[in-house]
Amino acid sequence: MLEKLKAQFGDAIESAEEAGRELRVQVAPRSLVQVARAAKDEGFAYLADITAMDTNDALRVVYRLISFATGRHLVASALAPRAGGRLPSLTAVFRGAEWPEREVYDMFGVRFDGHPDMRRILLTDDWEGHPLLKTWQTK
Amino acid sequence: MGIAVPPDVKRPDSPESEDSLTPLGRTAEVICRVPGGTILMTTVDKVLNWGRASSLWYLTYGLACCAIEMMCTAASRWDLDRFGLIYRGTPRQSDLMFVAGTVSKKMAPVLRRLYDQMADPKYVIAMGGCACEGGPFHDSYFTVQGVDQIVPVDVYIAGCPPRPEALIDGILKLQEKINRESVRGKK
Amino acid sequence: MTQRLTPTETMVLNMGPQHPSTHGVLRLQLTLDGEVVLDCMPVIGYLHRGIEKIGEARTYPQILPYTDRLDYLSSASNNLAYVQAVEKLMGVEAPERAKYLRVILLELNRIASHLMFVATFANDLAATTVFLYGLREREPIMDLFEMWTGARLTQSGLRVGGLARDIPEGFVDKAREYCTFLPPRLDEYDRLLSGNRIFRVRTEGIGILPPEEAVDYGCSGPTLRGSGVRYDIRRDEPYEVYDQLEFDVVTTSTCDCMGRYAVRMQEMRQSLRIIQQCLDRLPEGEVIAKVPRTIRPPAGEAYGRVESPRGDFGCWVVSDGGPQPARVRFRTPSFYHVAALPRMLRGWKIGDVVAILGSVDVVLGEVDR
Repeated sequence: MLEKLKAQFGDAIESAEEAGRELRVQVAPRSLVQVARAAKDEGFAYLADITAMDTNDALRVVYRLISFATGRHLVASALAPRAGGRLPSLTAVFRGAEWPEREVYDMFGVRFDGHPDMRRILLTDDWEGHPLLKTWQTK
Repeated sequence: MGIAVPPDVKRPDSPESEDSLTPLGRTAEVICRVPGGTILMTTVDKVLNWGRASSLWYLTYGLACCAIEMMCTAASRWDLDRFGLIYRGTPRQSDLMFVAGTVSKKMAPVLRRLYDQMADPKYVIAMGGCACEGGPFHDSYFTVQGVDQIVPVDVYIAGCPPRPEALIDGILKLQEKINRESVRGKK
Repeated sequence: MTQRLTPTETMVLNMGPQHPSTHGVLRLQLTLDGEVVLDCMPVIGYLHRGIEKIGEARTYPQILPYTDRLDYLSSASNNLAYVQAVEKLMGVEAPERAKYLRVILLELNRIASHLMFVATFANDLAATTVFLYGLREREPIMDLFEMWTGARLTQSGLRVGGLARDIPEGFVDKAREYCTFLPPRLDEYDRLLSGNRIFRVRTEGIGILPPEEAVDYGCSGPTLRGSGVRYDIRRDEPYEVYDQLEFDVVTTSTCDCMGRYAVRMQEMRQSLRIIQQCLDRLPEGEVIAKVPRTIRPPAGEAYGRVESPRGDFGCWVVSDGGPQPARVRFRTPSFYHVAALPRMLRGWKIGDVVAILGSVDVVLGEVDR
């Protein structure tokens, strides 16, 4: 599977490794939607999660796709800057991407282009700031 | 055991001093100056308090885990109905609000609105650590550290979640508190 | 005869966040045309407590009680997903006895959660008697938990490397007694509900979720299996000792509320089967592996995944080598189910909203975290 992705997308797959049942890839943001579609066609039809992490250098947005048939997890990461980051939305590929992308925006401030309803989901609409950033201090 | 009853909760809707009594309270004051009047008013107090304490209809404001224990208390094994407590879905028909669970900043205005929608006399029981003072989420950016920041609380029940017996103990303490009330505003 | 067309308007009706049937603080903004739901916009976040942020300020053992409070109807599943991730990071494996006991705890949690589902689902459809019955049958399980862990609801019974405590004297007998006590009652309640014409009219054919859409929305657990997709993490990505146990993965192909209800009723029976097998095979030994006093997993990341009563519960832990995690993320099934609600509600009537929402069995603690 990793070989297929590397062959199809070339240097858009910035890194790839296998760790147990996980296939971990780092994907360039511009190819996220195509990689997701390719993965879905290969059987990774279940979007388990979209989340993010503040690595102090950048925001790493992590997508987890699971194939029911093989039991493998495709864990794709894409990097975004800590402020003003924008990534393409996967809502056209997976219906289930809508809400977790809203949550990533709510907690980290990353916007998803092409998202039908890009607004906060958990916090109040007038909330300022994005709590899961490392720079947010819990009072 | 972890039940606290604050003695002088400032209730924003009830009379604060002798000068600001309700019409019934003022009438009661006048009656008390007449010989035998005090006995009459004490009896009236007793009857009113008995009525209020014996049929506290509660609004389940079940927010989180404590709501499950509240449901268990209301169900077969412990049965709140035998204390006169019946579940009502709307604040308009309730006397008592159990705040069972964590109050988030998003939920806080809703809580206040529900409290305002209840008719007097109304009581609030803060059930569980989160409602009392924030509980395990005391340093969260989105929780209200204690529901008494929003509404006046009559009884605090500690626990995470409190056992059904603790909840019943809290209700009994509230009934005791109600029985100490008086039309004349004195406790 | 001419027909005069009366202009009509749609109405937006707010259901929640305080509502007896929303199973927590869920707010549904329903756009109605008369009684028909045209669209639904769920608003969540009323129980958001910032647990993921709190996780970054706590040590690994301190996070465990917070996991209880996510899906508070089945605390052990949440515990296990988190503990699995930490154990993977540390390279620690629980001893055999602990694995069997964990499965017993998990399945007891599953039965308790499904009993609560039956109780509240029936209550929402005005079968209040079943509410009382369901919660009554749940009490012996609460007693078992209390006997073992000290707590009824949020047990925190697991630890990194095993369990907090071994089962006490008399637990095995009491558990076996429960396994024989429950099935006839389940049959009775099943007859009471599935044999009732009103219940059937209100649940059969209502709230259809086609299987491809269910997978696309990220649905899992009984919501997915009620739509005919045979996927159960206990069977497909087994953990603990599930690969050595015999049980059926229950699915129905009706895709409606009745299907989801039927899956859960059958799952309770399968859980009893699993518990009896574990009680029979319970080995002697330790209940916790050798784990250092301060848990400092080496830098890396791991994902723990568990079949909770609601579905696919996952926990992603990223460690930077310190005593506190760099990131803790909880992937909760109810979050995705609430996202799929508009799809399930469109076109049905207001009275069906309660039935559909009840059949999906969401817990807001895990939706909002």
